[in-house]
Amino acid sequence: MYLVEQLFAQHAFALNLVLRAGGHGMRRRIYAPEAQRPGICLAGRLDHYTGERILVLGSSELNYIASLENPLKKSRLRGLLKPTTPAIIIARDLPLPPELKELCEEHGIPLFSTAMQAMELVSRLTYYLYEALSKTLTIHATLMEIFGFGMLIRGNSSVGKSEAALSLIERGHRLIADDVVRLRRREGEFLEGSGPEITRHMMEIRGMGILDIAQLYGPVHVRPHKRVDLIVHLEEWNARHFYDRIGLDEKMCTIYGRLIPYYTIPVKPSLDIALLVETIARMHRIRFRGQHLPQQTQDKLVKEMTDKIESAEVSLS
Amino acid sequence: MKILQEVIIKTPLGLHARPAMKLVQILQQSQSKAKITLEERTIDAHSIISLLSLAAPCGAVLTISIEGKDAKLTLRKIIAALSNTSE
Repeated sequence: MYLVEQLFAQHAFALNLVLRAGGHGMRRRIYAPEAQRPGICLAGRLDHYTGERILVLGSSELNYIASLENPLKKSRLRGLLKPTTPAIIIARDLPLPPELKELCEEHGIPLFSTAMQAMELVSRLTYYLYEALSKTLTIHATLMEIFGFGMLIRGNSSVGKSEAALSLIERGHRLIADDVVRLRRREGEFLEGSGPEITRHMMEIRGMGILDIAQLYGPVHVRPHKRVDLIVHLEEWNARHFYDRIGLDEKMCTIYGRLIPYYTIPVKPSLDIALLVETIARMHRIRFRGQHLPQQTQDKLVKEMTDKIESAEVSLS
Repeated sequence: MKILQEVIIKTPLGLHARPAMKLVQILQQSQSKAKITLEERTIDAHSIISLLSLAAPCGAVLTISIEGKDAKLTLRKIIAALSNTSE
């Protein structure tokens, strides 16, 4: 649930918003991640008007409102104000129509004004609203940025995710979230992960309690969000399980509707997990540039063997 | 055995550090796995950071999903911890 007061608290500065009327309606819910310029709805055409969007009034709307005579003016404005209308914003700091102010007070709909232009306001507002209203999936994992890649480290609790993360931070990599990662689908088909506000950049280490990484290591060792590029699954070493020994096939897994490269790393006490995770990132960087060592080795091997057979055939004939 | 139950937080300050620690302790000693859902957010109840990130106030209704051999007993202990009004 996203309320007008949250929008105001988070973006009032960026959007230059000033509350003019209807302050008692600040707890209204924002249903749709869009802003709308009412346009033809002001002419009384409300057939497809749902009233669920934030309304942005620019100079064309206000000029039209000013041209109307009063009983009609009030009824047209009243037509726009639905019980679900979250808020109204007047662009370019244009003078507020007193009737609108009065109606907003009466219906408890927050009325803001801003110095921004209407079109820019609509696009910025739509961006912020999409951010706030898009669905998230909370998973149990650790998200780190390693050599520029967003690496999601998964595994059962007590497998050593946090300890590995601490070791990676020590090596200069950055923490996004530990234990709780919120994933959000972003435009351009990628997943973005972040941590919840209240425990952001905090980590629990057994025997020590909660640590604040931003404070302990400095702000350069953390970042607020990061795209998820790779997944590493840590699992307890199982002698009977067959682990990848060549790395020829790249495994992918689907997470929250996105296909992401996936590695399984068996863990036992003697292993330096941070080093292994870091190596995966290095390896992925090389693959990212189009080089795939296991495949190249395989190709070289096959070529050498074919050459051997061919030369044997030549010498036989 | 898997149990799904709604539990109301009765600790006056909500699910703050101490009751969260108690929950983690209960789960560490049990053979069951638990997840907690609050308003569409589901977290692993075995992690203290996850529990704190819920910021669940007193009176909030948590949906606890618990699975394991001693699920029933563990759930009873969790409910007792969340009902402790002296925390």
